Amino acid sequence: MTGTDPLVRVLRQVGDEMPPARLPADLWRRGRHRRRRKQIAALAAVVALLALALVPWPHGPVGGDRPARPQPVPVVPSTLHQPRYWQPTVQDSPPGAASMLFSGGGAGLGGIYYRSNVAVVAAGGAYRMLLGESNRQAGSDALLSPDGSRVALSFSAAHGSPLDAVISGAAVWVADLTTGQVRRYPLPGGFGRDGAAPMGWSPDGRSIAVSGITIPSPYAGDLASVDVALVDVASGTVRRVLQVDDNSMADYDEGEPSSAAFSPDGRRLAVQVGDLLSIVDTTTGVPQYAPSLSFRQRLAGPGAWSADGELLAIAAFTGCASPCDAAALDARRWTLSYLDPGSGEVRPGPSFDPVTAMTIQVLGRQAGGDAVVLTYRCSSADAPAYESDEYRPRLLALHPGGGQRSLLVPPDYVRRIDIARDAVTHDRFGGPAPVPPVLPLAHWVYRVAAVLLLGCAVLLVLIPPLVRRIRRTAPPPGPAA
Amino acid sequence: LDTQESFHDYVRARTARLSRVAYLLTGDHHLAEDLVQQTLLRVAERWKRISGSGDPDAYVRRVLYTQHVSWWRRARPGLELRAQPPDRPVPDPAADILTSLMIRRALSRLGKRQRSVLILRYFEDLTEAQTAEVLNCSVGTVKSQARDGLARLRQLAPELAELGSGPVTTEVTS
Repeated sequence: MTGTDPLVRVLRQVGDEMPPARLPADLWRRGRHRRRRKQIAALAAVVALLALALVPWPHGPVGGDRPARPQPVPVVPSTLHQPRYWQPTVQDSPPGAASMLFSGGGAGLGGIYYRSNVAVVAAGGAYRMLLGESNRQAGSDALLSPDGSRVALSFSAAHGSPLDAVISGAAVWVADLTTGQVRRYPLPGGFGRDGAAPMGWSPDGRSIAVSGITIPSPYAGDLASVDVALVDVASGTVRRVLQVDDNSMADYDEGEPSSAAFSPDGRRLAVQVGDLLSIVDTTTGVPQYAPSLSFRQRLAGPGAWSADGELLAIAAFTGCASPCDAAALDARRWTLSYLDPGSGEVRPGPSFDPVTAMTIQVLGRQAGGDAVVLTYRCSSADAPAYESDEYRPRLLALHPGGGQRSLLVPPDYVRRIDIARDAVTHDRFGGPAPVPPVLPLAHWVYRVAAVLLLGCAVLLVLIPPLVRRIRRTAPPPGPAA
Repeated sequence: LDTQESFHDYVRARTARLSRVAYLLTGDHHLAEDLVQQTLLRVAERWKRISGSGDPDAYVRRVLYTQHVSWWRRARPGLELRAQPPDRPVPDPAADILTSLMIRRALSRLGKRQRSVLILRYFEDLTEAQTAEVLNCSVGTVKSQARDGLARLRQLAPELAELGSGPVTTEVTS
């Protein structure tokens, strides 16, 4: 460099105007303290991130006891939306009593790996999720209690896989929507060798009818059978009330909703297995009557009993029985008839307009006599029928003597729904249906973020020394060509 | 204790030089003092490793320049090189005073990066490779920043056609 360059000269002049900076006497001590503070902060951050990533989240809210007063069942929303992919689970953020459950396809419901999640619709239309491990559906693998405060889950809908049933025995789970806690109810040995699933809640919500299925094994040479037991929710005791051998199981429609109905007083339980309709006393387990149904008849659904318990509704269809394409399934016409549950004799009852659908379920009766009916079709207004295994639910109120009103027409990606009994009987429909907000986030999102942050932090710590080492070891640049 | 002593020895030996560079970078006595303090605090944090490397100056210089261009300092106002002649009388004739004034004013209008490159090259007398090492950029970037900085100075002060034309240190090869 030469001092003759005016730039060099001026820079030196300017630099000379600066006296040596005044420095604190304890500069060394301050620097060392700052280093220690940074080390402690870094350590704390790593520990916090590790804790965030590895420590299991507490289930349920702090002090997650059930509220002393039962909450009224919320209103069923006027429509449904696709839940967010990161929607919190019931365990993450207990929503309180729910009006309904739904399942189906799409990002929030289907997730990845063909998993079907069950969405819980709570007060104000807020969504929470019940995560499953495989294809689980509302109304068959997840059943809402009459007051909407709990959900009964089949074993794979709650936690595990069929392997769990082999290892730890069949069980059902009950998720408490108020506390977020999930309780396992083990079933007796031999009950439901190939799986167990809830069939229905008693009207008082104190017990659950559970079916255990045994599929015939070519090695064991046994028969297909269905066990039915009552699980006491408070004590966990299990009482077997029915066992039916069934050779027609191969014909079961996999998607057929569970067919069980408690009488309004909870003392009788009607169960359809194959073409056999069994009515048993829930206190003694004694079968009262077991009429055979034709292949065109079904127990009408969980609301099949009349309010006085004197009539049991049977749904029968005309049209294609089997095999049917989607259009033929949708063209079935369903009517209701009534049996005396004590004698099996046909009795007169309220008359409703026929319903055209693939299948129907009567969910209950309202004070004015309306029957709330859940219908499933293969097609919808927006989607023609392509596949016979597509289920598009719709909720109707049938007026006695004729006429109907629509209660809920979910979007096409909703395949199954389940409604709390109290919402049906108290006509709580048409509530707010807000689009799910972005927040809150499921806890797994925080775990993923924590792991990513931890990874970034590790990279930030490791990369600079690595770069310095590479630079130090790199050969010096050669002379320019 | 030896480590602490060696740090104090280093501070005593280098503070004046660091202060001059800091003043050129910031254009303000207080900011320059602050910059030197922050730099030496950081150096104190890692002095054992820095002193063990054998060339503390390279690391300290890098900390000083990095601190200067760091994001949190960008938000601070008043980083203007004074465009006024110094209070202290200087022996330059009138023409030199005018040149000095124009260069000061032009320097104050350069970006931080360009100003840093010019100070490293024309005040600290570093090679392009050493400048690139301090600023953690490529030699090409140093060349372009220096070229653009000088062009900007000439544009701001057309009378200084010979600015930067003097020989500067080129690559050190060993």
